[in-house]
Amino acid sequence: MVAFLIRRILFLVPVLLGGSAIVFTLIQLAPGDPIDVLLGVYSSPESRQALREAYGLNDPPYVQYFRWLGHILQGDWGISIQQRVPVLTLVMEKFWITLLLTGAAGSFAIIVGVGAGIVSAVKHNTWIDRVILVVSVFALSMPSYWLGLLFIFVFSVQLGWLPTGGIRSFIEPKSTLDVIEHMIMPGIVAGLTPAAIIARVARAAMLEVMRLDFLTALRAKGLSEGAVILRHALRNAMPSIVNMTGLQIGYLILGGALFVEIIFSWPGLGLEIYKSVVGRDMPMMLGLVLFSTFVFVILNLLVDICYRIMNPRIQSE
Amino acid sequence: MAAPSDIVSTSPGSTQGESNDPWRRLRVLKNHKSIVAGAIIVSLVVLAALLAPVLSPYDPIEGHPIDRLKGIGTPGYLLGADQQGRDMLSRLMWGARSSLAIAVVPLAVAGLIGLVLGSVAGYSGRIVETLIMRGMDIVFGLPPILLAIAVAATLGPGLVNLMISLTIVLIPPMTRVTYQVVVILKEQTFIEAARASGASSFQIIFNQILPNSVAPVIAYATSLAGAILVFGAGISFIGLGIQPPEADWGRMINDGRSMLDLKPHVSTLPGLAIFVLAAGFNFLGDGLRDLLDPRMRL
Amino acid sequence: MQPTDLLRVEGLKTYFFTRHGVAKAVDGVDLSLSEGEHLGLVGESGSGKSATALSIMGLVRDPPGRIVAGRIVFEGQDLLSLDAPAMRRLRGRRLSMIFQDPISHLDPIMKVGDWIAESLTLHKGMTRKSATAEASRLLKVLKVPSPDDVLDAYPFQLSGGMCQRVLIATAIATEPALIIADEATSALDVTVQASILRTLNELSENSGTAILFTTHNMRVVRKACSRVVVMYAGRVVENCETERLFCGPMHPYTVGLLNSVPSLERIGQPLVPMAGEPPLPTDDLPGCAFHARCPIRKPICEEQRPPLQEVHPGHWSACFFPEEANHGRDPSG
Repeated sequence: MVAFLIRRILFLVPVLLGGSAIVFTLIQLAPGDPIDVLLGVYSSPESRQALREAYGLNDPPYVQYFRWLGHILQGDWGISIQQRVPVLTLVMEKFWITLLLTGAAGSFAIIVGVGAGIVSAVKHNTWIDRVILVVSVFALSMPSYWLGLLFIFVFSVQLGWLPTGGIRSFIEPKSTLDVIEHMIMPGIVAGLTPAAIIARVARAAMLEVMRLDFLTALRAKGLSEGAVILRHALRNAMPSIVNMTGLQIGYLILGGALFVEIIFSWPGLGLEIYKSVVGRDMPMMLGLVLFSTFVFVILNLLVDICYRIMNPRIQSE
Repeated sequence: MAAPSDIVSTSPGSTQGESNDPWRRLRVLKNHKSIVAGAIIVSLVVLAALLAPVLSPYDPIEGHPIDRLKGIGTPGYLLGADQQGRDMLSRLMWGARSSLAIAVVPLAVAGLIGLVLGSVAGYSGRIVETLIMRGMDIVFGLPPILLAIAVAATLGPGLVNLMISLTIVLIPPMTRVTYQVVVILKEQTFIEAARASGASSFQIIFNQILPNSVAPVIAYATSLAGAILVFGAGISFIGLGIQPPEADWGRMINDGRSMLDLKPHVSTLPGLAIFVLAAGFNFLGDGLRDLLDPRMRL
Repeated sequence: MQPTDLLRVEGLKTYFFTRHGVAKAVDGVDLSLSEGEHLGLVGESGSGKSATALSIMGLVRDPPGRIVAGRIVFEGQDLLSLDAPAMRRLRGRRLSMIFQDPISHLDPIMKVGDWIAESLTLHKGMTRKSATAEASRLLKVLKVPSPDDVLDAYPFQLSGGMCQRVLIATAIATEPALIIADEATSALDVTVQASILRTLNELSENSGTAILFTTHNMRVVRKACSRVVVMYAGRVVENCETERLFCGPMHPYTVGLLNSVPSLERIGQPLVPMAGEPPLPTDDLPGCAFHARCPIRKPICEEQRPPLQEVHPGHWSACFFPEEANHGRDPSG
């Protein structure tokens, strides 16, 4: 386990270096010359050249990359052009708000997905199984931005049950219940596709386990069907389910929630990325992508560790 | 997403019973309702896209201000008109073109690149394998949706740029799936036989490995097409993809967004179109995977 | 059959309803077991012996399987009339089972100590701690060296023989009246096989537990069982005491089974494998199911099904010509 951890953490280095290099390349490729921004398009060639020299823009790309990386590592992520605030501060603040939405969506996806997957596997080849499979294909095919619009139309505009968007209302800004009310629709819409994927993985993993002989031995021990399925079969299927769930939650935090945040004006990372792209706020956008890469990589590491812990057969190899 | 090992067929050639009677073959499909449903949906959309210039009643871009926001079923406008008086049916038919392009072209290009990289990595092993696969791991380690958005934002809007960014994101998973298929194929006896008969690595990759890994890779790609369509249309929906006045389903949802309560058809119809086509791809992908992996058919 | 039997199976029919037709895996089986008795249920794979064992345990999966007729009386109760919770309370407590491939019959990600303890907490209401202590004691009874290390291991870390001891410990933990050993030694080395059989014999002598061995291995029968029931194609073809079976088998199928097994008494004689294959379980033959492979078949065998008859006191055979069955077999064997 220790050797695995060391190996896995060492592998973070090339991934993060590679990831940041890609982000850096994107900065270089981004349209527009930074000198234009600083001196204006009509500045003299001499002053431009002087400034290029001063900022090190004439250095070879790899020198520029490592200099940039040095700044990043020291916590200097630049200043947002639109909001005039350090990028890192803003990113951290938005991260928690997105995490809140991801928590809601993730809980919905796990409860519905794992539940549906188990029922589908236990009722394998019956009409219940087929209905769950077809519904999961529909959920998989649902554009979240469109479903979000329909939800707002039905539940906010027509029925007036839930707020149309934002994270809190102006009337009772402090109440927890108020925030929860704001979380319901975006949580369900963002969680629907992950729920479908988790359901399919859970079903396949459960079917795989339920073919195994030890379930007969458990029944022979006098365990109830519920205990056989939930205490033993599910635990054996868990590594694959956790693996896929972790991946899905990673996609959710880092992108999947983007459309939902835009539709429901949820002030998280996704909405921030959207605003920075539309406003051509490159430092902000690249900061967000870089930060997301860190989170994604660390999340993948956590999932791998969980997978090992839950799977004694790999652990001891 | 299916584990790639699920979709590997370990025998060369067709996985179904070898029969030359086409009707027998069609009857086999009775057990694969999912393929049939998916194929029907996808071919209808393809047909609509191909025949758009012939069949669509109006020009998709030119509006008739007098017919603004006509409802569904108005004479002359089967599916109504949008806020510029453009016929919805015509725009949906023309929009099918960019939607199909978004779903299919990046997968096809990334699939080809992935096939080559994956077979080379899987067959050659050693340093080449390490270089290619670790490199893919690094790109795979980035959150794919953000990567696509960042690339799209850097390149600027437009159909071609959108397809480029989707292709970049799809190369690592397509390479990985080919690699896993090839690693299994490599151990099969018919590859041994080819090697024993003196074929070179190059010949084996192109004559044995590639043809036999194409089917599972296509099945995997099909299962991704729905998600790519939904995501690509979403990029256009938020304004980073295809630009107006081109007819595009994602863009059209956004156009009708502000009057969802008054004229719901403008936003709802293109959304429904995305949903149905994505479901078609997903059914087709599921069905193909079942066909190639008898274990899951049960 | 006496009313004091521990287990009495009467006219049991267990059918599997598959796409290819109805497979009559068990088609009218009668057998009985008294307290402490060791009964062997013998037959090739597919003869219905495992389906019989699962039927007794109430573990036939529905669908596709179903018990369509018969009675299974255990300790005076008809098991088939019990509801699911009552049957569950019996399973693993009065009625235990051990299996052919012990490693695959243990939860792969559960420590074997927890596996044994699970039965004790379930049926005896023990706390986890005392259940673990009891599990350790049980392994000691089974002569497992350093039982506490074993309890802390996962199944994949143990040998097949050790896993079988774990399953036996689980089976005896609740002092059951009957243990069903379904091919319990078939997947093990011959030496381990012998030691497992010895262990089971000792346990049974000490506690008076009856054991139903299902096996295809005649040596196991000879070593462990006092009485034998031979099954073929879902039916009982012969039923007698073990010694009688080895001296004077009265069904050609039994003779075939005995001839295909190497034995010290028959050194120098060729092993005779049985010709042909058993009929498909979905076939519905009017006559004797064995007639196609039978060396002494006569026209009647194809037309009529021979009933199970008591040829000698305590010796039953389902052959029209029981006295001719033993031709071609060395009587010394």
